[in-house]
Amino acid sequence: MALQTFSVTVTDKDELGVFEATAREFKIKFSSQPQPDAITPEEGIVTALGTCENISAVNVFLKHHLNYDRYQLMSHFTSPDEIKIDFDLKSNGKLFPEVVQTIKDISPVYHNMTNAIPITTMATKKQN
Amino acid sequence: MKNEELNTIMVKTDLGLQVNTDTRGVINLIDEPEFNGGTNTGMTPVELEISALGASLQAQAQKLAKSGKYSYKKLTINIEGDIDLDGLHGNPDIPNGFQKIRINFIFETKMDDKQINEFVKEIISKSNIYKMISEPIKVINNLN
Repeated sequence: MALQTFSVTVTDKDELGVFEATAREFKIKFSSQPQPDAITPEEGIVTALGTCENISAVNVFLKHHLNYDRYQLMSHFTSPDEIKIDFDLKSNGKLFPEVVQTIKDISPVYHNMTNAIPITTMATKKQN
Repeated sequence: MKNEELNTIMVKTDLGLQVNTDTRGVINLIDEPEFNGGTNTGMTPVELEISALGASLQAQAQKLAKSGKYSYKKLTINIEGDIDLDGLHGNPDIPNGFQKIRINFIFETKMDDKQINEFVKEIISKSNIYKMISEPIKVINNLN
């Protein structure tokens, strides 16, 4: 067993509806409604899934000794029950079934979306 | 969230595992740390996933507070998720995603513990992203 813990902190900002997520040295700005410089939580979740699938697909390209740069995906959020991902694999479309299987085998975000993940919560009051 | 379609375009760059994401012109880089084969130029997809969860909970907290039922000065949400890297690297006997997620809400507030606990329950019940992670959803992969 090689358990790895991933951690983030999400804080509210002075501006109503704007939040900042920090993971290690990286920050992403969120907003409750679409803004020119921030993504919404729904956009964040489809992006998390799409990038995870994108990275998982690299394994297939490596296995076949193919160039995997610049291929693209588009993720769509239409409801909290469903996410759609469109793949543009350029001239390597024949690999699509293998890409999908690899995503099922190794993509953590795909796993998290298609399974029920146990979540525990606690609340604490900060003492001034 | 209304039934409008939200799209993000993700392009694999020529740097390691780095992916450039474009959401309505908002650009974010997503990557993996070096120990997982990446070049560590951005959050990982799972970090982005739990960030979206935290942002959704923050948004619901503000919305509920606006109704006047609850009040707080500041909220910090810490989220942790555990993944067994053996599962992530293809061991079929081990789940490749989160085994468990822990959320800690830290309030600066005059509310008492009972009110805080009620507030948290209500926040969770209204969060789309909490529902999407705690219950299975449908993922459809298409080839264009």
